[in-house]
Amino acid sequence: MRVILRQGAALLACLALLYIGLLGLTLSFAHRPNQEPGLDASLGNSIFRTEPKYIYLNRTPLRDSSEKIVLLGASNVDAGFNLTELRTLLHATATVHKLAIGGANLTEVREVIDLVQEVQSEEARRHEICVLGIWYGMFGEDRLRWYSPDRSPGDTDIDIERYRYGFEWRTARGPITLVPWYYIDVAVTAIYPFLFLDQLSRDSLEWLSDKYHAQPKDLDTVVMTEDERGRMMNYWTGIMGPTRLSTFDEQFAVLEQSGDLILAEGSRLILVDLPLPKWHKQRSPYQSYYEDRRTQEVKRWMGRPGFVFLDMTDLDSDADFYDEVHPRPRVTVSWARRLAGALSPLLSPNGAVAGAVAGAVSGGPLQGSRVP
Amino acid sequence: MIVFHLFPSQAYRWSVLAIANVIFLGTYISELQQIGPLLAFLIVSYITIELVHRHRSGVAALIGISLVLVTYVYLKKFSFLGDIYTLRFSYLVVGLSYILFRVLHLIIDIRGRDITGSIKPLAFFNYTCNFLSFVSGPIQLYQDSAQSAYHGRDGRSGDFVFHAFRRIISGYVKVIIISGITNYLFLHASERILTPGLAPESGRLVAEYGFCAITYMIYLYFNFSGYMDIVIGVGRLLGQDLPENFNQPFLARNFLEFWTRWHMTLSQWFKTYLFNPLMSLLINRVPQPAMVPYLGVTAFFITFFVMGIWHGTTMVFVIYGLLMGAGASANKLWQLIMVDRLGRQGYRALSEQPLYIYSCRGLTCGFFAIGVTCLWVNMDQLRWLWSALGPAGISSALLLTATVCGVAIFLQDFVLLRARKWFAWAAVLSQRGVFGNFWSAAQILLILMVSTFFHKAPEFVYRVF
Repeated sequence: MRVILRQGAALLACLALLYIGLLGLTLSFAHRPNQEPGLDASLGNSIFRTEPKYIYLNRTPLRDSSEKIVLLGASNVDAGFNLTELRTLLHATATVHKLAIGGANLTEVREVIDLVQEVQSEEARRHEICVLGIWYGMFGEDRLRWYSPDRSPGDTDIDIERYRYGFEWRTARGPITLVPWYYIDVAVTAIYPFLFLDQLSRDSLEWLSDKYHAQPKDLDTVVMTEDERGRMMNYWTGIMGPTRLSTFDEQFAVLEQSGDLILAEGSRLILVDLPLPKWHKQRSPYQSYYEDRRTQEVKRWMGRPGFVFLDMTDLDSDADFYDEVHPRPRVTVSWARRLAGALSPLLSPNGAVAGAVAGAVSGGPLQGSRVP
Repeated sequence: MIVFHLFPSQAYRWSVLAIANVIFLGTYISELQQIGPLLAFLIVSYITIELVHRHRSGVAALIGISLVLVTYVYLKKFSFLGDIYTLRFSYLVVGLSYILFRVLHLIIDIRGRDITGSIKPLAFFNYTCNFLSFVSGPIQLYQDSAQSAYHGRDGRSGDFVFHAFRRIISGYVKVIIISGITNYLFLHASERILTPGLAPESGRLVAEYGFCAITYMIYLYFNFSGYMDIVIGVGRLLGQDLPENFNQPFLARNFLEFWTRWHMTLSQWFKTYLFNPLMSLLINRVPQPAMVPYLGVTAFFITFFVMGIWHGTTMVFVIYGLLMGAGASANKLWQLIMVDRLGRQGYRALSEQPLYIYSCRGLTCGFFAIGVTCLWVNMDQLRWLWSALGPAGISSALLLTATVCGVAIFLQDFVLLRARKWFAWAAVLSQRGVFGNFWSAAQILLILMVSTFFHKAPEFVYRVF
């Protein structure tokens, strides 16, 4: 047995030495996360590379108690609200953080909310406005969204990050935290060689990704063909499943819990109904069901202190979208201005988040207080 | 490992192993009743073995084999049984196939007096449920297992232990790095070709199907052989000399040779307990010497057909069995025809031609890659592939995979021969001392890093068979 133990110890010592060397090397050469005045999960040049990884490993800046706005949702929140414009308009009063995840449904958004709240004190939550952008595509049930052969059943992209580096442990009753959030920055430094290799491999395979998932070069001019529109509608049918009202039950329940949680913790909530191109709304069998459920939900919250509904669905000109969901870059400034208009009343001139506000900011059927 | 080596007493080590086996089985179940059917199978098998041991009669062995086989088929829920008579709760079937092989071997060898002594219950349990080889072998003979196991191997040298560690690490390299990457590629490519709405047009479908077939074969090989490396390495540290299960199968020059290099202990088992008795039976029935080679063709077909069916309980595995049987018998038939036409020397001369060698090696791997499609599709998906590709598409895919494999094997030989020459010094250094340990540590680091790339840990694929 001694010879086995001796061999094991020798191997462990070599492993430790090698890792320390690698850690020193990567910390000296690797690109550190940039120090913008707010988080942006879509920053492709950060060491984290993907939105879920960025959010899970880089959320500690959200614990400070200054005024902040957190943008939540899927890829059209990311692509739609021009962050530079938003920060320019609101920089005097609050820091803007964008934590949207491409392809997220409400379950995953709820996880992001939980992760953010985990690092925050009550005081920090009171100085926060959550902007949650929704559209029908975010209401696909978990069984259709998160059960694919390449992941453990039911794991969202956020869950994958929980377990990837062993920060949490998977059990039948849910994850058990092994590295508490207050050690996460230290842990991120400790796993820097892993992050660096991930970055390196993604960079080296970028050409392959570009080949198969290349976006058109000029998103302001590209036009979807009829064939592409048909394919995208089929894609969303696959994501959403059966065309009936109950399809939305699961995810609207998650939305309800998420909204209630945000408001109960003292944060503000702006629920934004995001626009889709007219052709998409007309063709989608899910849109009318979604609108019915969304109307009910908004009615439930109307009057609650801290809740605002922003209806942007009037921005639905086909010419303003480069695909079935995402607005052209030139439109994103006007989206940002529309949102800033809704946010301004919630922010007092000296930067404090205004207290009780409730109403609808709408161009659509739910009329309420309007942005001046 | 530490508990096992605490005391050198054989009885102690047998007990530790038995406890380890129980714990291992326990990791597969969430309720006690799930282990019930497996225990029942073990008890039935043990009683049968004891009866055969006492009576040593052919009738007892035949009844015992039938009883064990019926119990196995029932517990495995073969699809032809339907749902009517199956147990109404979920239970453990992992490892059942390999227990079956061990039990049949015990019955037959006790009957044939190859095993003479009585087998004690604990020895039976440790042999049939050895946690190292429980899931998918290797299938070790009882005689070898009893001889090699737990005889106090504390005198193992540092070099022996170092190489056992190296074997385990190289297993993880295969399972996590190589099979993990090929599985990732396979999953993404196969999703496309198996989804009618997403599948490309025929020409491209052939190419993408060929890609899937080859990546799955590589995945299967590295996953399975890597798992075997881990098992054999750990076994050595526990004083068990488990048999090898792979011997560079892609170097095989024909399909029959391929199966002497792939899952070797399974092939050997089928050779000993099915092919050889079957040949004896056929020769007794058809005694003309001229017919013997052709009886071999039949026996090969039946053996490989049964071996194929063994992999699963549904119709798609019957097709897999037919394909494997057809491959083996066509291979044998080709040899007979070529010997007939060219004579033994002529055929031997042809077999030494490089072009012929690489064509045969390519065709062997290509055919196997197409054959194992049955392991990654269900019947509906197989029907869809058949309708989308048609006979011409399948033939083109076979030609394509055979060509790709042949060229790849040629390049591998070409590159490997040179690489071995250039890096001979590194190979020597990596086998010992500080450099060897650093080399192993670097491999462990790479394993850890690559494993973080995937959304879930790579599974051991042969677990399901």
